[in-house]
Amino acid sequence: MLRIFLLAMLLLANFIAQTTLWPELAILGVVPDTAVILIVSYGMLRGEIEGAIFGLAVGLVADIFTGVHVGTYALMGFVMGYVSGKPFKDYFKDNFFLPFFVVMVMMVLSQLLAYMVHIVFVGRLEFWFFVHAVALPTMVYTAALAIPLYSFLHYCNNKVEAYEEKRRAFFENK
Amino acid sequence: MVDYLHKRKRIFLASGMVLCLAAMLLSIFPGVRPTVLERTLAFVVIPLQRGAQSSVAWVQGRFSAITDNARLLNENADLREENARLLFEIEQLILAGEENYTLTALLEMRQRFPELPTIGARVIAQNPGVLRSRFTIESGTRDGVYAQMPVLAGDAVKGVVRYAAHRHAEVITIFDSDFSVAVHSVRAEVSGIVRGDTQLARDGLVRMDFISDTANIMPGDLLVTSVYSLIFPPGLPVGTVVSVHPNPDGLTRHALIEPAAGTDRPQMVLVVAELPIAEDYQAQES
Repeated sequence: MLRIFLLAMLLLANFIAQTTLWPELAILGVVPDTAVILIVSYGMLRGEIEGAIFGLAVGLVADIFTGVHVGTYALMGFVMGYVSGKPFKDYFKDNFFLPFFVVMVMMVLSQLLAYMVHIVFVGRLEFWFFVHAVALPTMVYTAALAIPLYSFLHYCNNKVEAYEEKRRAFFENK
Repeated sequence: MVDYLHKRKRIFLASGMVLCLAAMLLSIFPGVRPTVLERTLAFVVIPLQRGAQSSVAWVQGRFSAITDNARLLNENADLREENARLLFEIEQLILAGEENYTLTALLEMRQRFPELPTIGARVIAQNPGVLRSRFTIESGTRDGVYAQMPVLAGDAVKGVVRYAAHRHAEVITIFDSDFSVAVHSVRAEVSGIVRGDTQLARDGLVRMDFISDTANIMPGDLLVTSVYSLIFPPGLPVGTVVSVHPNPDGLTRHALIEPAAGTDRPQMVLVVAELPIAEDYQAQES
């Protein structure tokens, strides 16, 4: 229950930051995609199922408020959470550089997907223009925030797991 | 729940993707929006967004002076420069306005006395002295200004040229104790001599002497230059009677006069040229 509450708070805080705070901190007109960091980090910490569910929720909130076509970001979040959770189930969680690289890879994929969505739903957009004007700056900016955000999420996850462990032990002893 | 989904990963993955794709396909049709979900989320999100936006704006306001320091410094320098330029322009406009005012007054004076040959002259210095009853004009004999020529300010008697040099001349005003002019009361048909008085000058007044004890003169009477004046042409306003007082001899009275030309030093004056007595001086000097 605590986990769900914390995730809801995290989701909400991220969405509010993405719509209010990050646009004010835009560099070269781009804002960091912290949703990707959260989804990837959570997927890596908790596995593909929880990562996918969290990704779906994050994407859905973004879709409902900002997306023209509901389901686009939800699908992206769902796939991203699943893919980042699947191969790294048993990796050393204190290694902060792996999430950094996974975030980079996911950013490439998400930007490609965003490009395709744009082509399908909005219209033609020159690929190289998109790469150097939008995708690359967003990737760099997002990657810069990957390690601090992962650290924070890792810390929160440890606390929640410790709480859950204590609670489980309490009920088992009873 | 999670354990259950772990056992059915493929179904979970497929159903999640199908759900999203279905939502995407549905949202293509106009009018299909998750309004209930949107409203529910908006109930929570909108106030938080508003609060966050206010906080961001507050923080930005606090730090904008630091982040925009260079821009503000440049803007400040530009504004200072513009301010200095505008102040200079305002000063020029004020000066031009004043000059326009005096020139207009001078023109009006000329138009008021069309039969009088006059010379416009700029006052360039206030001569030192307690009463400051003398000033210098920048016109001299070169311009046709000679000693004993009447000087007008506005439409009234201001003084007389005491001394004329080649490029400038000194004027003694009506307040100076060396000044005197024969005057005539328009209403009471009374004549007398108006002259400057050192003590009265402090109050902005001059004195009129040789008023008969029976003369019907009273405060408010307007005095103009008399036909008996050797220097001034007749009919020029000199001043207004403020009060009338008996003299110790019991035969005559004197009056206190407020000069029509006022007490301020004018910027421009009109010198009346080619009067008989001035011509005599002109002949003597030449």
